[in-house]
Amino acid sequence: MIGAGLTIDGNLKSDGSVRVDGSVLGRVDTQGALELGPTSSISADVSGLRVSVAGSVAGNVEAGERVDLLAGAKLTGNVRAPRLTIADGASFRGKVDMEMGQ
Amino acid sequence: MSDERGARMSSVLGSTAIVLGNVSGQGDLEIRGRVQGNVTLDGRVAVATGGIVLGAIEGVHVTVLGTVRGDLIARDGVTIGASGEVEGNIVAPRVAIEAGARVRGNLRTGETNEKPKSADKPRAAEARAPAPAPARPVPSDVRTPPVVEPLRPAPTAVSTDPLTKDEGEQQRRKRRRRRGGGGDEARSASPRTETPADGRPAAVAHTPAPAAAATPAPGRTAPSGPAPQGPPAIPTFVKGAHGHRRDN
Repeated sequence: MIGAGLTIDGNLKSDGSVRVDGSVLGRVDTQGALELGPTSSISADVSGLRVSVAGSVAGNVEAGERVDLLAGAKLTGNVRAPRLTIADGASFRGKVDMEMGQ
Repeated sequence: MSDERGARMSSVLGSTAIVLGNVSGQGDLEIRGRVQGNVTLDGRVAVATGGIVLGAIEGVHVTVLGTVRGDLIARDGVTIGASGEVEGNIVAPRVAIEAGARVRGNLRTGETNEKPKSADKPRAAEARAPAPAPARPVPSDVRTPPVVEPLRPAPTAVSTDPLTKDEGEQQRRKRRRRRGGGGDEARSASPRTETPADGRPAAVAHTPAPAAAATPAPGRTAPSGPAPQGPPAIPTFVKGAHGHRRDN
């Protein structure tokens, strides 16, 4: 759980679930659920089992199960996940690859 | 709950989280995982049990229950719990280290407005502390000179002054006449006495009072070595020896 005022100038890696409301100037890799809050800002690739994005991500997003782009999300990068949902109000610019794992 | 807390202040790096890089920002942070980098926060930083930080931590208050390999700099204070392990320097106005904590590094307390006064005192105390250390060897040195000092005054003050006066001189004169062979002993024992005595024997013979007081003092002080043998006996031999030498 990375608070709103927190900045990580580097990579964040976790085997569990992570929620980020701050900014990460590096990769975020988790083996569990990854929640990127509305105030979050990720400037590198993101990976997790389940990734929900409500903030801004400038990088590729990769998930083992699914990726959810929530309202207010701003994603500039490619998505690679078997399932993808893009909510109304989310901005997304990039390519989608849903053939992984098959 | 995570929204409110996360949005406002507190952040938690889970036990499985690993951060390779620096962490900075505002708000509180609890580190249960591992951070390989510096942590700079405008808030409270807590390294929970099992948490590891390989880097410096700077915050308002830093609490360590885990392991930190790096400096701790806190504006308010540092608390190291019993399970805490810190390998680095600690700089904070107040520092609390609970029993059982392992700390290796320099500790400096008192950095803010009120503290420098209290900080100067311990520093001054530290500066004074090493001072007594050299003072300890001094007494040992002092011990040796006192041993030497009593030897010097003892023969000069005790033997010369009383003996050189009326009774002592008369006795010596008698002894000079009685003991004729004393010159040989004096030559072999104290050659130094020969030189000063050479110029004065005439005065010693004719003007007993002043010369006797003057000559024995240098004669004895010079042979400080033979003093332990017999302080009172030596002056008599010296005078008698010189007097007899000239006479002989």
